[in-house]
Amino acid sequence: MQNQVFSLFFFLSLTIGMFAQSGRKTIKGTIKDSSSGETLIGVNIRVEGQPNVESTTNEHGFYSLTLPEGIYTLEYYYIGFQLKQVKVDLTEEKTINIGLEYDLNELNEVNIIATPRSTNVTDVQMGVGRLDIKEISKLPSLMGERDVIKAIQLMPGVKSNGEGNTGFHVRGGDSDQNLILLDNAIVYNVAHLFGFFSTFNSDAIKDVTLYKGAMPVQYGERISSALDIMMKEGNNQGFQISGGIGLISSKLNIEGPIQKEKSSFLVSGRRTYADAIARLAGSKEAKNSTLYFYDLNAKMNYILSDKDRLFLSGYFGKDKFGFDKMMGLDWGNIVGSLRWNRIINSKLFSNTSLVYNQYNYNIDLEMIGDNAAVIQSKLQDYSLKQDFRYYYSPQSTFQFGFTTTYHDVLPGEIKSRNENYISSHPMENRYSWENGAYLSHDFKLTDKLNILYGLRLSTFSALGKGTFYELDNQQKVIDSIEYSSGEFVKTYLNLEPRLSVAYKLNNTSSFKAAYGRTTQNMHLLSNSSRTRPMDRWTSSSNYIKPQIADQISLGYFKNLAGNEYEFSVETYYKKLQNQIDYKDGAQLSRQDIIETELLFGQGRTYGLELLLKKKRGRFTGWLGYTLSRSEKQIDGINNNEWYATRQDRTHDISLVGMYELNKKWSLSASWVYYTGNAVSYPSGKYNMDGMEVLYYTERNGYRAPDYHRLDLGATCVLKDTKKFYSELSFSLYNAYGRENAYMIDFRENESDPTQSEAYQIALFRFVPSVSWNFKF
Amino acid sequence: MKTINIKLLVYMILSMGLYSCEKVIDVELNNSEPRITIEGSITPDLECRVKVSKSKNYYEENNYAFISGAIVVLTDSEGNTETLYQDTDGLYKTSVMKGVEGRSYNLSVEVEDKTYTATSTLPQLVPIIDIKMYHIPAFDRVLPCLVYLDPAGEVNYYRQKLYVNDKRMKSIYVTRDEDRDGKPIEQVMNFNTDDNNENDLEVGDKVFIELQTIDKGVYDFFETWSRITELQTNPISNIKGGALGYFSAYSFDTKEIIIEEW
Repeated sequence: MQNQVFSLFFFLSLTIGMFAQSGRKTIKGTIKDSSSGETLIGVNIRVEGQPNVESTTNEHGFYSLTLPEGIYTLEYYYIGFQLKQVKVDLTEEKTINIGLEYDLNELNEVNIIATPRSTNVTDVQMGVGRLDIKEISKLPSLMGERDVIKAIQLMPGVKSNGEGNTGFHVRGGDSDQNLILLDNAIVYNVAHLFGFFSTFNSDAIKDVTLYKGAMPVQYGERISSALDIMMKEGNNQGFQISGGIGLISSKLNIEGPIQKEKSSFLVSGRRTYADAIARLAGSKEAKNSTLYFYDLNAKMNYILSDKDRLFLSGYFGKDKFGFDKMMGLDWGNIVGSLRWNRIINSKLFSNTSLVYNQYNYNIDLEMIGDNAAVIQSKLQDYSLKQDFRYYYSPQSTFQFGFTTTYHDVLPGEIKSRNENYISSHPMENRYSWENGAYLSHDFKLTDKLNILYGLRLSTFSALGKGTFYELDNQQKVIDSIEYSSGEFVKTYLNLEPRLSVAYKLNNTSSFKAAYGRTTQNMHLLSNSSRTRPMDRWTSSSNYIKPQIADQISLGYFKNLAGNEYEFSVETYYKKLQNQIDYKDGAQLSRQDIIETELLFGQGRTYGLELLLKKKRGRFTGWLGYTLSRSEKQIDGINNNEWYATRQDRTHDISLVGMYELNKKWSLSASWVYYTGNAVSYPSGKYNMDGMEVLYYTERNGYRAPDYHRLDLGATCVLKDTKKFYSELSFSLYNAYGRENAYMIDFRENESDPTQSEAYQIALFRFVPSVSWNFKF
Repeated sequence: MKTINIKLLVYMILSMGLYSCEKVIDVELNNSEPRITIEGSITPDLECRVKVSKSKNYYEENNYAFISGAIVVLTDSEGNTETLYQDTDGLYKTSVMKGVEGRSYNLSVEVEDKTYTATSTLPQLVPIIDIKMYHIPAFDRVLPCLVYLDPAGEVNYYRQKLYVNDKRMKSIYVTRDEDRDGKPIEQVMNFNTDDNNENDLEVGDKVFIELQTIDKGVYDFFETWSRITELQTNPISNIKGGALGYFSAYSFDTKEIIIEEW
């Protein structure tokens, strides 16, 4: 199979090289929002009178279009912006940088001159979800915190990890199988406050794209999805201060030029103060406790020359949680990237980035011998990424590059502060080196047929220094080998072919098909149904093999009413290898030899996703539906038979609507309904030591109750002038107060111990919130 | 750890002025084939006691019939052996053999044409030095703090049983001496008010603790039982042959205090 794909790949590459290129000239440029100077991603560039020639700006706002010499009218389309037309007499290579203006009459539908092209039908990539940040800001929210990840959970094929939780599952995958990138850097833990909020401050974010199918070749290292989040660059036209005051947190965002039109910066901060409010309210509990999180996003960019641009972005976030003389816990991410965009020539665009990211947690064990110890864990990555785009012709674009990453993982180790009470317990760092090299070619074979094919070669090497173990088939250690620093322990090599095909039936509909293989070498171990800050990341080793996923998907895409409505139906089947589950009673957190707790097997997920989206007009929104199954088969679990995974959920519906009532008021609502996830309940009980013990006969053999919830939101613009803008934003989470089960457990009845009962805990009924946002 | 997490979470929610609610619900559960359960123990200077019973469907009444007619045999590492008799209270007991520190015991139970076996070693007694009350200002509550000295140079496992005003608390407590070998252990026990009709510990309450020294197999059973809500799998049993339950040879010490003003 791999050989065949390889030959096909080379054959196609050679054929394309034979197309003649005489008398052609290239137009390149960068497209910006003229009011802020932010580059715009996904702007559609078309040539008047030539419906099949087009280009799109990449994630850095760059485009390149090669045409025969002649006179053309270029059209630049971007939703929410005025159409811009530029006449070009193409006799030589040209650079056309464009600033697009907001379409202030966006609501006035008569004013739309031409319908923006929709990538829904034309883009070869399928399984893509893009969210407009402006759209996210209109959605109702939990406690006034607008959240990128929660908005993504409203899309078909994406499921939340539980009530109000930012963990998510894409097409039946585990929550650690999502590649979450913030300005090219992996974010290992996206949870604030045990997952109720995400680490992404929506004020600092410009673009969010989720790939749930065969992802583009530059993405790898995770098998389910890639969520690419780009931070704003900062306004290079003028200073702007914006912010918000909410019930539990406040935000402040400052951006502006360092040197007008040359360089700009953005600093965005957010901090919660629920604990401070509780303290002010005289809560005794709050006096001796800590509970908050903060985020700081910062970015600077310099336009070095016409061709070079430098970006420096950073993210720092921390959660602090503690009760005096009891326990303290803090966790957070530090992410930094230095990116260099270079337009090498009119057809070749380069992006080089140096990335550092860290996730760490610290637990103060205050109840042991007067705060005698602390548990510390730290995960660090150092990466270099190089990506090239080669815009050979309007029909043919190449992408190639490589990534290399050094991982350093320290699982939670105990550091003693008082050896009289507890000894330090050092844990071994795990070192590894991960590489990816890729090439892909987006090729419009005919006006109707578009093919994107590519290959990613990934390698992963577990490195010394460290002790590695040989285990027998009962997971008992039979041998251990010491490796010295930098010594190769085990190297895995994987070829990941990716192929997407789109066939345009007509201007408003297309069929697409895709196949992609992905692999993953960093695994998050958790035998709890919810992700926790202390969950342990472990890398592939001599014993833990890379997870491999092969996904095929098919889809039909249709636009209606002049692209006002987008409809899609996609179906997928995913086959998974080297999936991880846990032995009964596994102890994962403080385990020197983690391999002894793990079981390995295979998985499969399949499903159908429907999406109907209204993109423009006073009323916008979408209806999404997912029908799916996610299963594993692992020797040692459920008699070696296939069983449903915890994220297995049959039906999932989300309905989202936003309505602009008038210039002052806009309303929004979202409703979700899903049938229960697979769960383990006892099928019996027995008695030990005078107490009831639950008797389980299988894993995940039951279904949790159905879940549904309606959230309402309203935004009232208080003032909207050139100098000052302010709005009040209201939300009501769980508007009809449904008691959805957050947790279900079983116990003896308290008043009648001869009887047993099931009970549930529900959180969040009617959570109202209000926040005030401003900009000047 | 389970209860502490839920409590912290609930506190967190409450601190944000929010709502959380607990209610009894109907959950339809499958029936299960009854499985043999065995609970056996032997401790110094006392006879060995073994209870043989069966598991039930979840919503059946909480009375468990003792199974008669089982052949229960105890053998120790010194070569002593005895077949247990079934007493009028339904328990199988030894009449001669009693627990001795340092010996290991084999238990064999033959019932309904199947034989189940288990082995457990009776460790040295570790005495309780003190019970203190540990004050947590964030909640203005006290928790019992059990003080004992871990014997150096060996791996030790402990289990604690907590009684408040003579009422047994249902939470399961286990510890081991990992990273604390030979050190004084001050173990703050997470007192769960659910065990005590939602009442917290108060001045004047009588706190009684039994500290058991156990072996690894018994520790594994209670440790995995204590995490059952999170793990959702059966506790790891030290009984071979497919029965549920455990067989524990243990030594124990007890102490009682009356809570004073903190």
